[in-house]
Amino acid sequence: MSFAEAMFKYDLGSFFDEAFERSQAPRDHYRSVIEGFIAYGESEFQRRRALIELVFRNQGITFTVYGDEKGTERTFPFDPFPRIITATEWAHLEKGLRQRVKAINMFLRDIYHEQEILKDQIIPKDLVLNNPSFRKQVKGIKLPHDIYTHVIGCDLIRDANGVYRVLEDNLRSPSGVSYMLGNRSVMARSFPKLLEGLHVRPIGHYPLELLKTLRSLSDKSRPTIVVLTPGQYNSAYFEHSYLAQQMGVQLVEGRDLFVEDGYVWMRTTNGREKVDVIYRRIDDNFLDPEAFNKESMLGVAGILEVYKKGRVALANAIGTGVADDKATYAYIPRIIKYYLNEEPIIPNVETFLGAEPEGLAYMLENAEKLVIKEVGGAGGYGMLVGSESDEKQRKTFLEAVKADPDNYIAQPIIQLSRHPTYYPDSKHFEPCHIDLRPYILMGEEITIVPGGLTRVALKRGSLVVNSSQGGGSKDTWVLAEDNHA
Amino acid sequence: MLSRIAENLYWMGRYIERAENTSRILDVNYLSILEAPQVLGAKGIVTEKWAPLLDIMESKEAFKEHYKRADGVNVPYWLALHPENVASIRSSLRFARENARALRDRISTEMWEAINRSYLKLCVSAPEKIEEDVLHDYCVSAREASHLFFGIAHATLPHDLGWYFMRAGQFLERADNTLRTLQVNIQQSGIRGPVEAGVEIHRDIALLKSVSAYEAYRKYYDTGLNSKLIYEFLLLNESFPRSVRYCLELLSETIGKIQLENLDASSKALEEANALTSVICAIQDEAQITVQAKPSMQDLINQIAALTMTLSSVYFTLQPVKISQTQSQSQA
Repeated sequence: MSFAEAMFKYDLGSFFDEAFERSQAPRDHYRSVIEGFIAYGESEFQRRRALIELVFRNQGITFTVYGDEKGTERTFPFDPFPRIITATEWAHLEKGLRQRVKAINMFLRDIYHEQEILKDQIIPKDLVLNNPSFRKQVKGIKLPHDIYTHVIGCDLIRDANGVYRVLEDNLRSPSGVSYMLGNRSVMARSFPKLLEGLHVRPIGHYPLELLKTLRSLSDKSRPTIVVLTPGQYNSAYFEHSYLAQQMGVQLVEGRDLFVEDGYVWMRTTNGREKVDVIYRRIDDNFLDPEAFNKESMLGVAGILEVYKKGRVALANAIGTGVADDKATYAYIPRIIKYYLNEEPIIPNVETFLGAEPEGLAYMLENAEKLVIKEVGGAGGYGMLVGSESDEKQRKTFLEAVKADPDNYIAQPIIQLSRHPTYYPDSKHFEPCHIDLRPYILMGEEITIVPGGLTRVALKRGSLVVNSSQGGGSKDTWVLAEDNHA
Repeated sequence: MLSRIAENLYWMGRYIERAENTSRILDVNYLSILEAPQVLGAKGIVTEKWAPLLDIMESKEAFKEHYKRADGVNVPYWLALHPENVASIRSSLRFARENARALRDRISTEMWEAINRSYLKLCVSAPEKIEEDVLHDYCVSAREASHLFFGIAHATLPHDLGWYFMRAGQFLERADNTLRTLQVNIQQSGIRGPVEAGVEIHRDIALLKSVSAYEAYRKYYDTGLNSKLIYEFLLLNESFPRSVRYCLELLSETIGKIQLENLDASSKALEEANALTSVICAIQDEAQITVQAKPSMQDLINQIAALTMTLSSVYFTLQPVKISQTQSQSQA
């Protein structure tokens, strides 16, 4: 079979395919890239693809896998077939994301101040106030521009009809943006002809936009900004150091900082230096051993008190986790309606709550058709994909659900859209399920760099895109205009 | 500069220099043993040749926990590759890379990629055992990794505070290594009886080569090889980059630059470095060290160790915290 045939011999199944409208019929906005790959030819394609892996390894663009005894660093598998989003689709997504993050911040401001939404019984009081991520310590604190979530990663999927939906909001410290940036630069280096003339919108200015966002959190003209990392054994350490380097700010660990005389300081070879804004990549729990987890060695003792007085800014704010929990998620459409009096532009995925009797009953009866998730779970752990499990696994999981129903939600198994992806073992392009994580920056203004991280479920047939579970990624191209094919 | 960053730079310099020094000593020893003359009545060329290396590296105790005999298979493997030897070339490169990894946002991308490539080649895909050409090739690669790294650093890292901390580590390590190599050699020649001249020359060449000083020595002195001149060259020469005097002078200068940019910090480290340097610069005859022991080799080694402690207490006031994997929480 020729390389061209290999690109087109492709079983669409009953899924929404990003690249092909019908069998052998590429969508208009994919035509030029497919022709470009064919023009390279198989051996040239292979050569360029092999170089990519080497680039990632030599650059040490890796992540650490937890629970792996050897502490191995792995490269994040990269697929060279880019995901392409039309200008029209992106305009819709951008509008929807702006609406969503605006409402989420109004919600966070409200629950840490007047709590009107609880008094109006739009969302159960218990769900908010007894949520382990609700931080009563920060009630009533005034934040710059009333913004809580300065960096957001919003996970979007596309259902069988091609409708974009929000699967999850990541409001604490979403990672992956360095892969978004790395993917673009490796694509531009290894397959330059594909990009040429296509008018793909640039994304390389993300670190500058992030810096601008962080600057807007201080009223000083030249604030001292730092990135706070748990350290080099954290799975996202590469990203922390990359962002610090690109922004030209100091990368610090908790042990580099201390509180004295009511301010936060860095320890330097020449004594102490004041810190104004901290982009922290450490969860609330680890941030201040005096206020939260006493065992934490990653944080800075006493930082909460400085923060409460407005003498240091934290991005993201403390206590945002209450709004991205999987149970709160189900209420986001109502939250949008409540604060903005608008219908959500990007819908949620239908969600059943274990906390509601009818939700729980539905969950227990229809487990094989559902994805059941632990409310606090992340990274693809603590979940059951009904169609991929057997009777016994479902039974065990449902026992856990019955024992603690409030801790679970369920969603119908969404057949995430698929995208052609190259498999070196079969030497074919095969369809894989994908999602999209755009990054939204909020300071004085909202900025969304066009695109995001497209994650790919590389295990054949799998719906789990997380890097810890065999996921990979692709470059994501947002077109500047739609009128070319 | 953040204290932790300064400390990482310092150790990165030390570990890479250590990998280079160890590889030099091992390689020279291996090649010289191939053509070593047999000495009648000696307790065995193999043990005599390999065991002293463990003294230079201060590695004897740990070695004994793993091996019974200091032979031509065990010692090279232990010093080059053994993962449990914290001073092996492989471990040194691994530690250097760990420090570099913590400095990724601080050092140039080219420096990082150079050390990362060396790490992948010499640590991750290290040879399983020492066979014919393996040791030599491995040592050459380690030495070149160091040259490449410091060369790139010289050309791409701003020669500011960070550079000086890296250089301080590099030259402290180098001074210490030259002293130890020499000390062990002098001890060895003391316990040996008179031997044929050919053997002595053979040892002298190996000593010079193990600190890369053979050619420089030959150009400097137009006489033949002579132990006294060799000691003088390695201890007191003003321009040879591995002599103890050269390293200490450069160290004083480096710490002086560091202190200039950290005027609020204590000047204790600079004072100690200057005191040590003026002692060695005042010495005219190497016999003052090797014979009269004023100061002795061991005194010099101890003073360098004391300077290391002072540097750490003045500029790196942080106690390193060990972060366990469980504390290193995952992120969404």
